[in-house]
Formats: sequence, structure tokens, C-alpha cells
Amino acid sequence: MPETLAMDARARSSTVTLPRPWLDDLVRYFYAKLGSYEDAQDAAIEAWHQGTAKAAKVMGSANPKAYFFGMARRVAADHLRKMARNKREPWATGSTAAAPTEDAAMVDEVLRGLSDDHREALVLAYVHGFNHVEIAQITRRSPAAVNSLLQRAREAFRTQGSHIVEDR
Amino acid sequence: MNDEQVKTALQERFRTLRFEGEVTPGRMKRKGWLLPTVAVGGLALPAIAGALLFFSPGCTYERAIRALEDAPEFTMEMTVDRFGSTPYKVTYEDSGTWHRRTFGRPIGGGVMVWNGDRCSAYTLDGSFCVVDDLERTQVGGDSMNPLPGEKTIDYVMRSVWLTTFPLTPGSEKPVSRYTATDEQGRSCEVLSFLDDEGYIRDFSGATYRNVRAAELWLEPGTGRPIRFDVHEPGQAAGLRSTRTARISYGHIAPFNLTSGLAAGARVVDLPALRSSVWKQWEAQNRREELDGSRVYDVYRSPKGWALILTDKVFNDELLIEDAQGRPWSAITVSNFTKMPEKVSVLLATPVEPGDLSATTLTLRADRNSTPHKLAIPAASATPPTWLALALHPFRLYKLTLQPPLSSANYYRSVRDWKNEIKWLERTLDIYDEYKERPRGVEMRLSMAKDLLSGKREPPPFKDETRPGAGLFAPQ
Repeated sequence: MPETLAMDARARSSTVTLPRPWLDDLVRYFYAKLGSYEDAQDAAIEAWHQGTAKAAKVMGSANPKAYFFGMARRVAADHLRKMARNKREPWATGSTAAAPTEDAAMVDEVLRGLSDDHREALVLAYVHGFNHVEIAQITRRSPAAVNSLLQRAREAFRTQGSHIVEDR
Repeated sequence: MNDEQVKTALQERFRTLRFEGEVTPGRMKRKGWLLPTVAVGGLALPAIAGALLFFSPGCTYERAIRALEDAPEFTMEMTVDRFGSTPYKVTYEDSGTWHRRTFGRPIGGGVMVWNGDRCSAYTLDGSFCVVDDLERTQVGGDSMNPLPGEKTIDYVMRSVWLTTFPLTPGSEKPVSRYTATDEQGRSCEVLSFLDDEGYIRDFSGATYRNVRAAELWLEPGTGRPIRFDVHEPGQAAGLRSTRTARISYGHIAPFNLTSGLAAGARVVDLPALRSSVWKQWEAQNRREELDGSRVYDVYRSPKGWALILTDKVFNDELLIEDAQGRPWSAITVSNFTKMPEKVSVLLATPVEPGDLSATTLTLRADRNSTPHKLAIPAASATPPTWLALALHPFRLYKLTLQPPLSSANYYRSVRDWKNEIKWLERTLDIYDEYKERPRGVEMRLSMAKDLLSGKREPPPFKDETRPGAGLFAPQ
């Protein structure tokens, strides 16, 4: 890249910022991925830093939030690898955030029983409101694969979480 | 439970999760965490060399952060938890942004000293390691984060860790502890580690590949590491191995870190310390002239190698030979050219296994220079302070503690030679991390290959089983 272009890109990056609410979204996403509140905070900082450094590129993409979550997903993968090296399991008992209500605690229990893919798909769809195409972009799957993944995830959540409804 | 209920349950659960720190332009940090066990306090001193931190009980993370905010460009702090389950934490500032990294390994705690292009790590028990020339540092393991300084910090952390306890990234915690009696009849605590990543590293950074388990013996009373055993595949953990690396840890701490310091304070100005050491040597030891440069001191390792402390970085033209005219190779293993007191450590070894009992070496800066005779002292198992200060523990280990190879080993099986070739190639790989290859090792490798291929005949058999003979040895 010619030097002037590189300087332009740096200048743009320094002026463009990411929406602050995305940082909270990151914590939620990483919590779903890692199952540890503290790890989620750490990963969120890291992903936010990476996103901020490339803010112009993120905000200039066709779907900035999906693009940003695609970056965050790689950070999550790094953290999962580190956890594996340190013999730590995601969603290990005792690592989750203090649940404010009994319902929240039960949802944590259900999430703990789901696979990583299922948790991710559910949270991206229902917590962050991404559609199938966006989830496909983030997770690098085809929209059809995301659709069937979501179906299976919902089914798994229903099976595991049936007692939530029964207990109410 | 229908889709709407799934959605509601998830949204309700995740609604309360938020980022707990504060974000300001160019700076971001976590807040509100108390450090477990021994808490950390930070005191940043804008010294010439950089920042110093010290540890004291009763301080909070917040306080440490506040102290760090006033620090120069690069500072660190870490938690202290000996063999606990709490990982240590590292905070550093780089380009105005806070990063907080959590590493999975607890460490013995200590002091970090950063002075521009060198970083040193100290542990609280007084042992220390020096990490030199960070630009050339190669780090395995946690290298996925591209942030500047990350590798450096990880390496330093790893060095502190390795200095204190020999662990690998794959076996951070001892899997068992038991008590065993050492040769002196003392009852030592033994920590056993299992290897699940194919290798184990000891305190010096030396890597033991293809081992199954390792055991660390701790000295009763002090808890200092006194012995490190590795076990090859097939051997049950707990049995003594023929491949035992008995390591004396004494050379790691040639001086008491806290001596001369105010009680309770653990602040070390490494450059000042180093400077005082050099000045001491300058004042007390001979200063032989060698083509315009000075030779401050010469140390002979138990293996017969000569380590020369000089104020010059010699180039490849330096010629060394013993009294019989046999060539020695020389390599600069450490230099402090950026320090006010310019010193270098030169390693001299015979090019081929030969007589290591030479009492004098002839040095010439190049072919046209005047020969200079240098007296070589008797071998000593205790390296001088300057050597420990100048060398990374890995090199110190390589230079002083590796077992010798007798030249009688010319007469060995083909399999043994092949093993040695493998070992020599591995040694060169390790040295490649430092971007330098000892000429002696390269020549030894070449010789081994020539012997195997029949291009070269072995010399007449000669018993050279005395200690100190030879260069590198297969373990």
C-alpha cells in the first residue's frame, strides 16, 4: 500500500469509532462462548481493542456489526484454545456469572448442557438479533446450515430447559 | 417451551451482562477487582532505565492501577500465588492503552525490571533471570496475540515461572506431591508433572522432548528447587531415570537480591546493580590489553570451556589457539553494547574434541594482529557473578552444566552416532532462536555426518574419560 494511502487509512481509523453498546454485546457473546464472566470481560476488551484499531474497516463493511462479531469470534477461538491448554473447560461449574434470578440460574444450567455451536447460534439469533444470513457470515456457514443449526439448537434448549417452564 | 419462551429466557439472562470497566479515548481498563492471596501494590519510579515495581501485601488492584498510571511507557504488575489455583495477572501499558492479560500459570511472585531493550525478572526468593535482547526472543505457546510487547511479557513471565518451577505450557500444575529422601538423607517434597504436549521445560528453558513425566525436588525448609528429573516414555513416574538432569540451582542466585535494601522493600535497579558489578570487576581484576581492548576476567567452566569477559565484541576474525596450535572457536554469547559499561562475554571452545586442559590461549584480533597470551584459570563449578548477570539461564545451563562428551565416543555404534546427529541438529535449532550458531557444534555435526558416511576416519582410540573432555553430549 502506498504510504499516503496507509496514512489515510490510519487517519480514518483514528476518527471512526465503534458504537459503545457493542462492547456490552461483546461481553454477552463471550459469556455464551466461554461461560466465564471474567474471561468474557477480558475477551471483550481484547476484541474491542482489535475492532477499534480497525474501526474504519469495520464501519466501512456492508454489515459492520456482523463483521465485528466475525472478528470477535476469532478472539473467542483464541481464548478457548488457551483455556484448553490450561485445562479449563468453558462453562465449567462455578465459573459463570452470579445469576440475578432463579430463572437466570436455570438458563445457565441449560446453556451448560448445550454444545458450543448451539449456544452460539442461539445467542446470536435471540440475544443479538442477527438473522440467518448474518449468523452465516459470522460463523462462516451457509444460511441453510445456520437454519438447521438453529433448529437443532432450539430443540436442544427445549429438551434441556423443559423444567424451566414446568417449574414456573 | 416454544420459540418465544426460549428467546425470552435467553434475553432475560443476558440482559444484565455488561462490560464493567470504563472506556475513555485511548485508554481502557478494568476496575474493581481485588487481587487474591497476596495482593499487589505498584510503585512506578521514573528511573533512567525504566520502571520498577515492588510488591507489598494489602494493596488492591485499583491502587496498583493508579500507581501504574503514573509510570513510564511500559510497566507490569502481577499477582503472587505460590502453587495456588489463581492465575497471575499482568497489566501493561502500551501506546496509551491498557491491556490486562491473564496467564494460566501462577508464579512465585517477584519484581519486574524493564529498562528499554532488556527486561529482567526476579522472584521473591532471590533467584532471578535475565532476559536479554528481547527482539530476538522466540516464544512458544501463547503467541497468538499480536499486540506489541505480548511476546516479551509472555517470555519474561515464562522465564520467571521457569526459574521458579519447571513446567510446560501443557502441565501447569503438579499432578501429585509426595515426600522422598534425597542422597543427603533429607526429606524433600517432590512435585510430579505429567507431560501432555510432548515436551517439558526446566527452569533454564532447556527443553526435554519425548519425555513422559518430570519431577521437581524442593529443598526442605527453603522450598528452593534442587533437582529436576525427567522420565522417558515407558518409565513409570516416580522411578529414577537414567536420563536425569540434576541441576544445581545455586548459580541462579549468586547474590542476595534483598541485601542492602530497606526491610520490606523489594526494589532493584538492575542497571545500577550491573554497573556496580562491572565497576567492581574493573577495579579488582586484571585488565589485560588485547589489541586495544580489555579482558576483565576469564572463567573456566567444569567442562573446560573458557568464558571471557571483555569490553569488545569481537568479529569472526578473532583467532584463538591453544599452546599446541590447535584452533579454538569463539563466539560472543552476550554483550551489553548499549550499557555505559560495554562488556561482552566470549565463549571459547576447541573446534574439535581435544585437550581442554590448556592453561593458556593465544588470541589474535585478526591474522595481522599481535598474538596475545591469555592465562586460563582452573575449572570452577561456581560461575562468577558477572556470568550469571550477563547470560540467560538457558545459556548458563548450556555452558556450565551440560554433560561432557569424551572423544573416545568416536568408537560408538551407528545408532549412537545417529542419535548424536539428531541431538546436535536440535541444539542448532535451539541456538537458531538466538540467531547464532556455535561454530563448534556445526563442525561437530559435520564431523559426525562425515564419520557415518565414511568420508572421514576416526582418530586412534584414546581414553579421555576424565571430566571436562569434549564439547556437546547426547543425553
